[in-house]
Amino acid sequence: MVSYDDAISRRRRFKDRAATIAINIAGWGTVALISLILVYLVSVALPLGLDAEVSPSFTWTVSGDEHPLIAADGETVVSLSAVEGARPELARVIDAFGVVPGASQIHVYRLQAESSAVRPERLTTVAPLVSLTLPAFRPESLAIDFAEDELEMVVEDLSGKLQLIALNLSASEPVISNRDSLQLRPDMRGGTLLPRMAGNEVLVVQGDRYLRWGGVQAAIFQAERIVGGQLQGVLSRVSAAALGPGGDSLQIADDDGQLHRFDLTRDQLPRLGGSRDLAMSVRVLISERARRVTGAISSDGELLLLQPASGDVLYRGYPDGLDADAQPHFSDEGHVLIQQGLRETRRWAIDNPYPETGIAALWRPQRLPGYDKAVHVWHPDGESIGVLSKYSLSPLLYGTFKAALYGMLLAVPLALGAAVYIGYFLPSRQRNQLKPALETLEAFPTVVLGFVAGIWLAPLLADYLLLILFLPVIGVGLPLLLSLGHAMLQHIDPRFSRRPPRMLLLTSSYAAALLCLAVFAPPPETLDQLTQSVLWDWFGLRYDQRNAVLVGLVMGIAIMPAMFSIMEDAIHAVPRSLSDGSLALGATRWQSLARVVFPAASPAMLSALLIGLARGLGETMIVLLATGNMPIMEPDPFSSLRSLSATIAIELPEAGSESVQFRLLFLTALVLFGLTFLMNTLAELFRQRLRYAYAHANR
Amino acid sequence: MNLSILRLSPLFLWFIAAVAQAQLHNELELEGKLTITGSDTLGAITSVWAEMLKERHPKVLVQVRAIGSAAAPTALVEGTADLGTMSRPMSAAEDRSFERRYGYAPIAVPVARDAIAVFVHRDNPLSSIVVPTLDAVFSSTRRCGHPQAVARWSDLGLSGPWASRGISLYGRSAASGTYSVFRQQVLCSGDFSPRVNRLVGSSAIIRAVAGDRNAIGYASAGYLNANVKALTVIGPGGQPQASLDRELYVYLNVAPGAPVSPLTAAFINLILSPEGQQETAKAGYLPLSMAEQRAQRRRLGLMDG
Repeated sequence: MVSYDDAISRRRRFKDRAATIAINIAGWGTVALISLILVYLVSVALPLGLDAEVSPSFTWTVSGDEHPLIAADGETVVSLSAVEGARPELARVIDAFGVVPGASQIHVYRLQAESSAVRPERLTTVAPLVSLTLPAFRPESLAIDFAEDELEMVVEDLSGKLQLIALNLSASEPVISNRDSLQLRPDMRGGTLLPRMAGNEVLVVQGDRYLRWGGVQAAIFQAERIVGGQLQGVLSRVSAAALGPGGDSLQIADDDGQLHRFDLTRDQLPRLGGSRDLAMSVRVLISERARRVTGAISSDGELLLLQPASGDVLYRGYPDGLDADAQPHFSDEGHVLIQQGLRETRRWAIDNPYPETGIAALWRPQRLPGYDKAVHVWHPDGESIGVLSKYSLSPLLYGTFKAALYGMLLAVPLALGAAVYIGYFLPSRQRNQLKPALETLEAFPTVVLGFVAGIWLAPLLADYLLLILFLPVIGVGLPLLLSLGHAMLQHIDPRFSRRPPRMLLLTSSYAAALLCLAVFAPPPETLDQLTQSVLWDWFGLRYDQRNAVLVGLVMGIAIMPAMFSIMEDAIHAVPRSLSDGSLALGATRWQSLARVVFPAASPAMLSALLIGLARGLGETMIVLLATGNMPIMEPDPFSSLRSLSATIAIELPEAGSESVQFRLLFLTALVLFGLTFLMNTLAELFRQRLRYAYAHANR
Repeated sequence: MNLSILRLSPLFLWFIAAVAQAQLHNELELEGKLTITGSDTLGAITSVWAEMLKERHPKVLVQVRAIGSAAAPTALVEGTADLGTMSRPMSAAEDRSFERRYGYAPIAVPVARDAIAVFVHRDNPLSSIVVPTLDAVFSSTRRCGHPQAVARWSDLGLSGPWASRGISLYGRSAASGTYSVFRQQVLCSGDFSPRVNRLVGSSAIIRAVAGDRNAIGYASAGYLNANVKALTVIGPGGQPQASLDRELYVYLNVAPGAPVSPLTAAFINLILSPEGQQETAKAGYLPLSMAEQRAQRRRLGLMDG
């Protein structure tokens, strides 16, 4: 027989066990969910940090009259038909075009075929699209560039003249669109020719001297514009010269293995930072066109891949069969290294999907073409028009902290004042009404705050900032001045009343201030201009309409309730006996607050600060709407900023999946996650210490 | 029993009639859903075209998502849109990703011409600006060759109360084709200054410039209104810069040899019809000439429509 008690206890035990299981599932589920988010973030962001790998993929042996040539896509392979006197091993390849020099001819091929590098057994043979005859020239001097259907070729002929031919290939028949020549001075002969269509110029580098033909950043090629000079700071013999990534810089390697960079977007060819030691004797320098990757190849076949602006090394090794004499080059997308030799043509696969996201590139300042000093630039959207992107996360992290700290400037005094007042001075009945009221502020949607700040407060602040800043001067300065005057009067004539007439002082000073304003106040439509000129002329500060102070004001309101709640709890939780004791011993209320209550509550105070900071760092909508979202690094109170979270909100819809930008946004999310996680954990640790302390105090 | 059948018969007749009518309509009318993703510059006019299509074919559902030109290739490649609108031609990389997915190139149909204009606040005394200076205003790289940075209106030669005002910059977000064209033509492919307020949509820029005395911004000229003043942008030859005009495109995913789907054909026909182009002109763009309209329709094999 089962007793009634047994049944009840069994049911109780069952319920207890079920509850235990349910709670366990919920608890571990939460932990699992958070780790899952973390794992996902890490898995998306992790490939950014991977090093490059180079592996051989194909080798074609040149036989008889067949000469394989790989197009710049790294995939299409054709066989060039034999042409009398041509030197196919000196072929230059760009886009879908191959250019082969002869003794006095240039053969242009269109490299389109059925056969691809994946199925290389059936090579299509192609005949030259066009053959151009020139004065006899050095075949190895041939250099080409291609942009917008125009193929530009430069050679140095045997009389030391530069011969330039540009072909327009948009129509079915190629048309010569430019033909020009320039006699080189004897000391410039035999140099490296670098045609650069991005700047409509031809660059010649011979030793440490350079020549720019065609004008700098000109809209069209201007043959009469010639600038020359000396490359600064190159101390030993130049061993290799090439255009840098994107064609905006000149890169020089010298015999000491130093890499020097020069800015081609400026007339005087300024240096881009100091030299970088590559620790190898460089024979060949090559660069990708669409990504910031430079390869250096030594005479013994060592390959170094690096991001030249940051110095992040991506790969260093000896790919099998690499020969600097054969002038290897990258494919357009940088996933293939191609080497056209006299006897064989080789191809290596480069697994280097994220070369521009090394530690130095993300966090340290870089010297970039077009910028006069080392900069942190977040400008991730170049691919669509073929401009190099810049991925520095520093301005975003800086902006995140700037916004949070300006928010704290307002929030801490507010929260502390409110917490002391409500937790220490207020009778508990009123406390019970006021505290929840303040805490409901926490639930106020931040998007509304941000909206109000951006639309309504921003122009208002721009207009009235000067007056607001001026108020303390009137409010404090004038009474002070008048008090001083009164004191002096008293000193002169002791009969003068000893008590200063406070009311009179105050009213008269404010009346005077109002009179001042009425007389001197500028018309309202020039207020913003006055604000800007005062800030600029006196303090050298720029005024952005949506700035850090504005964000601070609104963010302060948003993070105050959370901080207040913890602070108030802490102050209220300090045993009344402690402060009563100090009061009984004759301490004033301020003394017992400052010397007894605060020290006891200090761990929680610190915890509240950290919670507030974490809240500020993660805040999105306010920063998004109340700042101009400018990724700049300036501590100025009236300049704009851009935070990590706002960047994610703005750019995630624009970033293509799998793109560098997409993964970087996940990295920023990871950084944000890490920061708030750290802050919250620290805050919790402090709070637990407080609890422990009370447990002991109460005993 | 009989009675009840009699009572029901009118209902039955009505049902027959309804079915017949529906079938009759089916032959004349198109049904289905057309998703158009892409340019914000083209957003307003695309919606107008969509409305016109819905008027002609009430059962057609047209969804227009105007995010920015960069959204169009992605949507076409992923198959989430039937048509992509772009305020610039596709870049080589975008073209490649499409070809990699489908094995053929997308078809670009020019549908209108548009100019990018540079705006200032209506009180601003400035009336024209040369390209290198405009580059220095908007960029941090000054690739077009202006010697020094520009931060205040005094750097542009304004005096009096304007001299001490800073310049606040407004521009489009990175997904927009206007942004890319401006970057290539005015910044000489340099970098935008980080101080540019990047707003979504041309109308947002006009609104911001109208409300900020220190502002200068660029947007589609079609959005010009009386609250702002357009500057004449002067190119290298001393002439107004012509390259700030650009063609606007609709991109189609049509396999070579295959016909254009009826719904898409109806839409393109509408755009390239005199009525469609009339709306285009009304929206502030430069319409295509009759000959161009006809040439485009012939190219797509839509002459009968």
